Order: sequence, then C-alpha cells, then structure tokens
Amino acid sequence: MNPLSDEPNNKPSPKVDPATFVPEDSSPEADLAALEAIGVLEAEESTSRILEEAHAVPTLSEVPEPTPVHVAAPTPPLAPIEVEMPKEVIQEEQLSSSDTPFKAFPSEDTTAGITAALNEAPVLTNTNPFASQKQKKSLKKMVIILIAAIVLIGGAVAGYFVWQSTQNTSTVAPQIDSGNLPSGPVETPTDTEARVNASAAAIENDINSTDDTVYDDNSLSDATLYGN
Amino acid sequence: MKIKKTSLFILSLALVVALLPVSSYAQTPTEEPVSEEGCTMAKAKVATHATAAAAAQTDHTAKYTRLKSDIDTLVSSATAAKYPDVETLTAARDNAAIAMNTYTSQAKKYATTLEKVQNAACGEEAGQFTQTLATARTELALTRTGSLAVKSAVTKSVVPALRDYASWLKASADTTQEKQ
Repeated sequence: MNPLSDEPNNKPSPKVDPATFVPEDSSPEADLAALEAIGVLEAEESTSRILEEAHAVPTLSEVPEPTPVHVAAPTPPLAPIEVEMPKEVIQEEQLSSSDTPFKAFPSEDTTAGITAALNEAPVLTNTNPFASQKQKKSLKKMVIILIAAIVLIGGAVAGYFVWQSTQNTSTVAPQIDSGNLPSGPVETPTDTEARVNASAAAIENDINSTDDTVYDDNSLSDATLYGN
Repeated sequence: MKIKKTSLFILSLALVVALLPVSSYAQTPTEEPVSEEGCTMAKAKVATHATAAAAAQTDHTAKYTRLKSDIDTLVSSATAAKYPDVETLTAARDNAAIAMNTYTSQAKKYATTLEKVQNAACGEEAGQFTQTLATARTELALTRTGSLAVKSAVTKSVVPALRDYASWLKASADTTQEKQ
C-alpha cells in the first residue's frame, strides 16, 4: 500500500517495495530507505503526466490548412516562412510517418536544422497566369504609347521644319535687276481729249475692218457646194 | 347650212394649197437626193471653207484681244482721272467682252461641225452628210450674228462712251486753263 496515494501500486520498487515498506524502527538507515521510495514514486507519476499531456496536443495532420494567399504581381519571391512547431509534436510526427514535410532535428543543433529545412522548403513564386497576362498587356500599352509619342514628336518637328522652310521662301525678297529700272520717277501717261478720240477712232476702224464675208450664207449654199 | 359647208371646204382647200409650197421648200435640203460625186465635191468645198473660217476665227480673236486691252487701258485711266461717268464706260467694255466671248465659243462650235461635215459618209449614207451640212448652215448664221454683235457692241457702246470721256477731258482741261 502506497502511503501517498489511495490506489494500489503493483509496480515493484527497484530497491525497496513501498507497498510492503513498513518502517520498523526510526533508525537513520530506515529513514533513508523511505525517502528513496517516495522519490521513485514521484518520478513515476511525473512521467505518466507528461505522456498524457503529449497525447492531448493536436498532431500536424489535425492542424487546419492555411488559406491560399494571392500575391501581387510584381512582388519579389517570398522568403521561406519560419514555422515554430512544438518539439513534442515534431517528435511524434517523426515517429508516426516518414512522409511529413517537416523534419525533426536534434535539439542540440536547432539553428542548423531550421536553416537546412528552410533551404529545402518550396519557395513561393509568382505563378499566376493572369498576372503575367496583365504584365504583357501593360507592356504592349507602353510600347504603343511610346510609338505614338515618337510619331507625334516626329510629326511636330517635321511640321515645324516645313513651316520654317515655307516662311523662308515667302520672306525671300524678289531679286530685282536695278540696272533695268528707270532712273527717274515713272510718268503715267495722262489722257487727253485728242488721245482718247484717236483711240476711239482706231478701235472703231479696227472693228469695222473685220472681214465677215467668210460667214456669208453663200459659203455653204447649194449653189456654192454643188455648182461648178 | 350648205353655204357654210361649202365655204369651210374652200377655206381648208385654200390653206392646204397655201402651205404646200412652204413644206416642200422646207424639206428640200434633206429630201434632195445627193449623188456620191456631188457629195464628194461638196465636201472638198466645205474643207476649203473650213480653212477660211478657221483663219477668220484666228483673225477675229486676235483683234478682239487687242481691242479689249486698249479699252481696258482707257477705262483704267478714266478711273484714275475720276471720270464721273466711268460706270457707263465700264458697262460698255463688259458688254463688248461678253459679245467677244460668245463669238469665240460659237466659232469653235462651227469649226467642229464643219469637221463633222467633212467626215460624213457619202453614197448610200448621204443622209448623214446632208444632216450635218444643215447643222453647219445654222451655226454659220449664229457665228455671223456673233461677229456682228461684237461690231455692234464696240461701235455703238464702247466708241460713244470713249468719245464722252474725251469730251469730259476737254471740258476739265478748259476749266483748269480758265482757273489758271
């Protein structure tokens, strides 16, 4: 019978059986033996408690899966995320299955182990097809805008030069041979009565001298055409 | 009633008799049969006439151009001299110019028709020759009318307007002399 617990303990003590231990006397050797038995019992109890707690912790398979994260298009590749897992869980997962994505590492070299695990972990990259299409579209737009800008600027420059050339031709002073110019002021002939009358008479004579005989009806008459 | 019927018959008969020679005269040029020999001879004469008409057209046009220039000069000087009746002179000049242009276009038409007459077929298709010849005769008359219209415009409008201008010049010169 265990003196610290109500339940009977069937496990035999390595050295002293606490159930059967009955102090016979109060000698120092007897006391020492009693203390030793108590210590053994306490150690057994703490071990069983730890095991119970370990069973209560959820396994990795029970952990809910993380929701997928949509990464923005031009962000740099994400760095591997450090996941802190309880040591006990890691140990259990290692024991239960060898296909787990996480590996248990010895506690002595924790930093080196985590680094190695992170290096082996898959790196998230931007594999979204819509993002790449958007990138292509924006690139096309940029190229079109660039070409349009170049064409506009070129047209403006060409137009400026054409305009300038036309301005130059229109502003060129006409070359005048000064040698042919009269030395003095040009006198416009003023009309006089005699001069105008002479002109009128000349015009009258000129118009009256017009020969219209060719337009006579006889030119195309039957007598002219069919006669001898 | 009988008298009325008889008079109506006589009247209609008289009308038919009166119109018969006119219709026969009008149809003479087209219905008159033209022998192939006569047609060929007529075409040769038309060709000679066409050459003369072309020379006359050139002569007339050159004369008209010269006259236009002379009249324009006088109108300009009249405007510069502040001739009060310059509008009459300008209107006369414009009318003459219109008549000259009318003549030129009509003369060109006439020359084209004369060419058609020369190219018309003789023989069995002599009708084509006589038809084009009739058209040429009509256009000959129109061309002559155009030339006469120019003569009329110049002699009856431009020349009197110029004489008026000369009179005004004399009057203004006399006034200036009197003032001096």
